[in-house]
Amino acid sequence: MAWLCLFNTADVMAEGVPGNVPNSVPGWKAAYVPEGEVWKYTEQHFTFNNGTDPETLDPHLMTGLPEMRLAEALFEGLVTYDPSDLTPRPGVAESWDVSDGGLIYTFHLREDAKWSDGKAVTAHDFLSSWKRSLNPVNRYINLFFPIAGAENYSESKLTDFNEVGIRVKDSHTIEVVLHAPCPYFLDLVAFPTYYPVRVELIEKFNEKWTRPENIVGNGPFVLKEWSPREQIVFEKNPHYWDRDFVKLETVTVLPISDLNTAYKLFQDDKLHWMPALPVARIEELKRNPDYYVYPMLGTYFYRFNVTKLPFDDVRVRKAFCLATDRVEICNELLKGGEQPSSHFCPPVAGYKPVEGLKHDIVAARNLLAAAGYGKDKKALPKLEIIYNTSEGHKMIAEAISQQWKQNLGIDMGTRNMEWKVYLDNQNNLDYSISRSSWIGDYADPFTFFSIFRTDDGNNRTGWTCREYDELLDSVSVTLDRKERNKIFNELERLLVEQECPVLPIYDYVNKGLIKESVLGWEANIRDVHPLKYIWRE
Amino acid sequence: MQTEIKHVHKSYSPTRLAFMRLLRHHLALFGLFLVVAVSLAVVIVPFFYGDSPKLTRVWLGARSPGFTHPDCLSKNIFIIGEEVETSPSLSDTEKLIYQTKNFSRQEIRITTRRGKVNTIMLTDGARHIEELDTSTLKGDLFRSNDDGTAGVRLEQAFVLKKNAAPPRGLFEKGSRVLMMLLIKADDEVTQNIVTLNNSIVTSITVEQSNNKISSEDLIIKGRDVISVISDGEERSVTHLLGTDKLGRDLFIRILYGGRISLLVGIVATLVSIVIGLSYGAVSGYFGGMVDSVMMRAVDVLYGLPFIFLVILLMVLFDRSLILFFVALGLVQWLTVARIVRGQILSLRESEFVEAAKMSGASARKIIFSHLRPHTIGPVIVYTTLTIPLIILEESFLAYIGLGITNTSDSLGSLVEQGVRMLGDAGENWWLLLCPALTMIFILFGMNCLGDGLRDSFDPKRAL
Amino acid sequence: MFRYLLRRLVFVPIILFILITITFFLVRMAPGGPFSSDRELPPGVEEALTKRYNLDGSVSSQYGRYLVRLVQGDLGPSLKQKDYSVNEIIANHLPPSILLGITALLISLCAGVIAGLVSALKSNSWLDYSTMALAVIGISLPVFVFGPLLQTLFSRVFHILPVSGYRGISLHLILPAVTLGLPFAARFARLTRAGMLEILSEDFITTARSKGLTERTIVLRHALKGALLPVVSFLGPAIASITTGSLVVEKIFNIPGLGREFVESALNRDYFMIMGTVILYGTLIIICNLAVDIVYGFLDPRVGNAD
Repeated sequence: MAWLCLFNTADVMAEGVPGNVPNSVPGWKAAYVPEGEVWKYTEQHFTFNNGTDPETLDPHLMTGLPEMRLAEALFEGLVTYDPSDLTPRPGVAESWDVSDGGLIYTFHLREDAKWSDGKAVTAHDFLSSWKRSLNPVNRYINLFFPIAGAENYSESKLTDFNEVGIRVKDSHTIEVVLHAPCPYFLDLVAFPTYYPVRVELIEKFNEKWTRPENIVGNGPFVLKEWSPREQIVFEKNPHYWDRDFVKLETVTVLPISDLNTAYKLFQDDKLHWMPALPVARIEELKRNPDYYVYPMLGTYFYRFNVTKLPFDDVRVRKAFCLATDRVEICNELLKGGEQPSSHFCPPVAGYKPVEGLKHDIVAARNLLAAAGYGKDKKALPKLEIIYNTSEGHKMIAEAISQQWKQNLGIDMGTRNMEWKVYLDNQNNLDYSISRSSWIGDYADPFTFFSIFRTDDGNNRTGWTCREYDELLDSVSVTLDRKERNKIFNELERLLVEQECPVLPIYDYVNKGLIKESVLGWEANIRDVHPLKYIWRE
Repeated sequence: MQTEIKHVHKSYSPTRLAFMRLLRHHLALFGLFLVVAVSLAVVIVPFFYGDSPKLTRVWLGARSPGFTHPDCLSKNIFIIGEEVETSPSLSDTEKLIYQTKNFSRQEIRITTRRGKVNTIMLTDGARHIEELDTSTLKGDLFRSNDDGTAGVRLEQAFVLKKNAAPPRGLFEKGSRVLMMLLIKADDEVTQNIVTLNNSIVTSITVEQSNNKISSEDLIIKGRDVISVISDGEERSVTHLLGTDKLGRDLFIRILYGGRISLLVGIVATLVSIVIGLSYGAVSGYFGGMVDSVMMRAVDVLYGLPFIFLVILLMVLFDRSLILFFVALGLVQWLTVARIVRGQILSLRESEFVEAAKMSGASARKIIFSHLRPHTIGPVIVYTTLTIPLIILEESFLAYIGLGITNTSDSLGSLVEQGVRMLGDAGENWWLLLCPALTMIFILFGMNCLGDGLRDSFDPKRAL
Repeated sequence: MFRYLLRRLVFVPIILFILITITFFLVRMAPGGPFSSDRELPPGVEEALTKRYNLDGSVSSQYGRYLVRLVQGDLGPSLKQKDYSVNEIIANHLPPSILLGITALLISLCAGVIAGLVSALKSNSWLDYSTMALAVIGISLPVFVFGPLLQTLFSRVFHILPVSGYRGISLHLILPAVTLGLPFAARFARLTRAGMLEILSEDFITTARSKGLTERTIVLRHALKGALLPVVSFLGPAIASITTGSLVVEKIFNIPGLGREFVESALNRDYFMIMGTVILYGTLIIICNLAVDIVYGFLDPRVGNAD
């Protein structure tokens, strides 16, 4: 898939080769080695609230962040993420080489990597796992597509897996051939889709292979207990190659969806980390010293249905954008540190977003009048903001609809919809304005702009623009970062200043609570916190 | 021989008798009073009170009962030649003066860990910085009170560095977090004078430190307003029961919420009665095979758990008010049908039905004119006891996110929001107490009334 | 009696069958499917998923296949909790629900009946009024109000009960059971009081009194059975309502019960899970109603063969 082949190859290559001596702790890891002995006198047990029971523990079938947090503990891929800046770091592969031109990646697996039943992790394990993962039931199958032949194999245009660009050189060397240079490839290899699994055990146990008594993984922890909807318990994996580095002995994962209850547990010291908060009590929570908030790679916005009146008229869309006071929403309503934004893509990887349309009520009214709506003119059809059930979305929708009432004189309804119905309505373009959000999959603006291509399934606004599509195509083949950012700026200008099929509201932040005693937990824009690095003091 | 008949009591209908008994049942009368009082309030008061339940004043946030502020909106828009956009109660004035002070507010949050500064954050945008030198800040620094208002001013400048110990005395004893407000306000008060003619803006003048400027348009932010003077009179708004997180008046929201909850309760109950009465009457009257089949059908529906049926309906169809009436009513009619059928079965064999049959009345006539009066009693009792149930069921649906939408929140929804906003130290208590009390009044009243009615309709009751 | 029982029992599988059929088709009418998400599925994935979970083909053919597996006791896979089958999920989550439900019912029965009795015996006294007032408040507010309030009171202020969680028969069960049982206790109290007052005014009680029996004997031996009739008749609907109330309590106290599965499977369009829970609850409620009718029949000699 062309979109993946983006930046300067040089950037990523430099990061990919770690320190020379496998036994000493490389520089980037030194921060996660506890100073002193205090930690040895603290019970190394960590409990956190995952918010929901995982849909599955099979890394090739999972789709959500709560599941991926757990997979990260039970399995390890060739490459892992640096906990603070998300750079690819050695996992099962202790080093890798990239050929000139970035087409061939050779991963050298460490000799001491073992499964939790003592068997060694070999390159064959990865081959068979990836073969299993390259299966249409896997929703993230597209992460394999940079590999030569993978896309064709998935569509059954290619039937012999041996022709896909994955080759086992020997028991601890695996070579991957891409069909085009893709410097972002290492990021993908760290995804759960690329984790190794014991295929023969899966065939033996079928969907019961993830039960504690059956599951075998190669990660820093093993699954000790899975009481559905009650708790999940991990224990340190004694066969893990880096076991001396892992400090936590046990981890308990709770699936509490009532966040008020979770907060009570947190105050009772029964919970050490809450990644989600009861937002209605934000004022109270901010005064809790354990509260944290960090920018996150995501954007909260409203979609316009450009195929229906009145939003088929760009002037009307612009009027609504101009009439929205985002600063009020973020600073006076949400008060959680959200960054009000009139741009679509948050600043990421050196990209500087455009200004967007500034809040200007008079201009908004003029535009609306120019489009022929308002007093003594056409009346607007009955409009509604739809959103999926959530107290936060409700608050924002009600506040914004009132803003439009005061600023534009328009009466808008707000309708909450059950999740599946909401998705359905969006997909069928059966709405006027819909609340939405987009979380970036990887740290590059392309993940934000690509969804508004004409035929993209995530577009859901009915908006098509040839210029936009052409710009998207051109950015895929541009490698120079400065050039690319320039094109991204043009894309963004089209999106939020000229055509406005979307109304950006704010850049996401990550809010939560974490106890003082927890260390090794770093904030990053993708909210990835591998348990391997965490300890308590 | 003729005996004189003294004191012939008029023959009262069972309904009349029941009514007379009801008057002696004190608790029931109290219940009736509550119900009538609340119903009248929710229907009539909104006509006089003014504000819409959806009107937001976001800058206020949640304020306790009795809070007063100048009468203005979040944005007060004045454009010459156009209608004024401000508080509806001011639209009749000729001269409006808004006294404002532009001010900006920035929240700063500092935390420590093991005695050393851990994070320094400017909350908008969650911007973390490594060092803060307050002498470089423009504006006045205050401690932030628990409700977000400015507290004690921090006069002395200080420096905070990450991983260094903070200045002594800055953090309150034992506290690891410090919330501060950086407030930049104009020194002078600006006088914004707007003249109106029949709600149309005719002139706009802005005065500040003896500078008078005329303007074509002016937008005043609600939070900048210090006072509003309309034709010489200062105007402010008092929120009887406080406001919610969006600054909406709680009193009016409770009134509208009560309206919706009562409406749903009453109409859904009526729906269930209409269906249940007919069904039960037919089943009970005909008895035998017809009755068996019809009652087995009822069993099937009883077996389908209510919540599931309602969820399915909510999910399949547009969640309008009408759907609520139908869905909630559809669940309850089973009970009515059973009650009615039971009554009819026992009455069927009674004498006056025999008499009616012998006199040649058709089956339909018998059902609808003879048996019905005797089933009215239980049905009325059922009504007063079911309306509370329906209101509770609607609250439950609101809790799981399938409540009424696209209207002002129902009472159950308000109670749910109140529970969620309640802080550990009882913050935002009014958001829970007021809707909950209202709900208790309505349901308590209905239940007591229902009890009284049930006692009254029962001929064995000796009061 | 026996014939009555038999006749009712015969209907149970028929009712269930109709229930299953209606639900099966109804559920597939709902907008949205089990695989829709906010990220578009890559092409081919949806087909593959549909096939894997036996959702391909026309609805009638799916229905047929479902029935075939159902008869063999296989309720199908869960579309949402992919690592478990519906049978397993029900087996895992039914015990906590049952335990919670029974405990709640027992607590509410005891508390309610005793309160009602005391109120009736001391009728029109302050004790009576205050107990009844409390009872009415118990049915005037939704369950999700009491839960967090009790939680805060007993866990955070008094620290005597745990905040949440399920550990079988333990302290952890008290708060959820009380929260769940509160509205029922209130209703039982009112029903008992009303029933008791009614019985006590009957002629045969006056006769018993005039015969010189102690108040205690009168109440316990003669009056109680009749007074409890309304309570028993309410048990049927009570058991049904406990299932809906349990959803809220399970959510607030994080109890791994079936109530949540119920609602969430509907919201997730987890077709097989929905069917499984409907069948389960349907059977449970039908049997409970039957049991209640039988008990009622024993208590009230007038009823019995009214069919």
